[in-house]
Amino acid sequence: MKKNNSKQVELFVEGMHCASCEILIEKKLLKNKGIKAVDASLGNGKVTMLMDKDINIEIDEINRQFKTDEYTFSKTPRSKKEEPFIKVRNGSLKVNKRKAAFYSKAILIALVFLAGFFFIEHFQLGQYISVDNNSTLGAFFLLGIVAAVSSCAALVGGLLLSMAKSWHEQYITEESISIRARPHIMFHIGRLISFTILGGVLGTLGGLITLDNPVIYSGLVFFVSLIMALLGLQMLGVSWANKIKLSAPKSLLGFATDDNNFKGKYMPFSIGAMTFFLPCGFTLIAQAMALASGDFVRGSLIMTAFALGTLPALSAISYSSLKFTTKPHLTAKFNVFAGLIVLFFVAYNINGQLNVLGLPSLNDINLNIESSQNQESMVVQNGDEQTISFIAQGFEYIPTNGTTFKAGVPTKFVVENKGIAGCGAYLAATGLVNGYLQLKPGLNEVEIANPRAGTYKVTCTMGMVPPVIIKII
Amino acid sequence: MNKVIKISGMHCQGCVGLIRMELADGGLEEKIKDVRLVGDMLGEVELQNASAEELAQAEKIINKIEGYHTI
Repeated sequence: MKKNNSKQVELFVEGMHCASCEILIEKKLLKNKGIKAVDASLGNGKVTMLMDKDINIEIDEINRQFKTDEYTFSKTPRSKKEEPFIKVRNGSLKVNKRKAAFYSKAILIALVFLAGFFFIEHFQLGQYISVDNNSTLGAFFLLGIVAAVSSCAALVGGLLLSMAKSWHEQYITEESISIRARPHIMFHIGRLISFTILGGVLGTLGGLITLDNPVIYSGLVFFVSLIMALLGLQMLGVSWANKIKLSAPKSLLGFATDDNNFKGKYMPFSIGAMTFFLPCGFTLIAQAMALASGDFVRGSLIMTAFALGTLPALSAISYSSLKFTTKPHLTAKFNVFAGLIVLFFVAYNINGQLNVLGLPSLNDINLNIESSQNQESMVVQNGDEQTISFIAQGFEYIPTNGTTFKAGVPTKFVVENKGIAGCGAYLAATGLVNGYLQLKPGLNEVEIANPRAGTYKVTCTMGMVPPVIIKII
Repeated sequence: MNKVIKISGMHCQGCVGLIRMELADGGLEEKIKDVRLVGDMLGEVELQNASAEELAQAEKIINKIEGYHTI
């Protein structure tokens, strides 16, 4: 049934206590002629029905059908305002037991997932994969695999997860999994095609452009994170978030947003294609290699191999979102799980970019403890010049001659690359060093003519390498 | 002769309604005498004049519903 012949009706329901109630209501309502899809939500106390436009279902009739089941339907909430999850009353903390029971499993699964993510992050898999101009396509494929379970998971994976909810609602009437999977498939195809073509473009451009503007990239991450945060809050049913509807401006995207073509066809494809511009650290590495190749075919193959490497993990995100929304009563729980994951990834991405920009972040808590334990710092001068020196090894930048230096003194920023790997090969020290510093094997030097007084962070392009604070006084 | 099937997982009227509906959809509507809660996470289905095959079918239907199983 085409969506424009249908209408959506939402009713409030009293009397639900559990998932069985949701299933019962959904199945019973679906027996009514003209009702195409039903989603009952214990958490919201509502039922949403998609039905033929010319059908008018009387609430009295619905209440009659459910009389023995002791549910009551209404157009407006009859009971008092929905109790919040947690509140303080008479000085003590009160937990809404019904909501806690409903959300507990989803929260537990989300915590297990995040523990797994941190466990993988702890191993810093990126340090085991190094690529350079002579690497095989297999190496870039492996880089993609690592990227998709690391920082790129937080950015691209988080975006994909947050889009899954709106795609699901778009195809709520469809039973066929192949149709419901269509926006996901288009997303992945768009991503692969854009990486292939734009990888070739990078190869052709060669040394004409550089990918080293942390401020622009950080701005992009913040913008995408804002959208993800809103979608994540909508998944968690936050009422004010649900009032904000996201839609792309037609004047900007033209044909892709034409309503006649919108449905599952071009918007997911465009979103997938645009992930090429999301500055995940590993993506930047692959893009830099494509750029350095100086050849359309090589650049294209590098980025295609990388994108293919990310495909299994991203496909797993698509698969799980499709699987857990096949049954209406699972959709609400999946939304809670996905919303929590998305919000975590937002915090993770933003924290990383705060490091890149040299701004206060959660990492500072650790750094403040370490610096208070190690008060010694040196101001090193060699005549009229000073040197800020690091060793880049494994997945860290190790200062070798202190972390406090003098302002206004011509400075050399020297990094000896003794085997830094993964996205650590692209160092960011915003405010000290312009753009990103690609670390070649051996010594890498940058002249800083007149360092200004301030506090700066040295980290990688995604802010994942533990930042080192440099003070210029 | 009436036969009773004990079911683990039943805890509310929603469960009663759901099981009753699933059995009715499975063609056993006329055989259902009662569906009731009897304890904490415990319920019963009482079938009337049900054959061994119908009893087996009822158990199969109940075991297929997520969250419930016959005991």
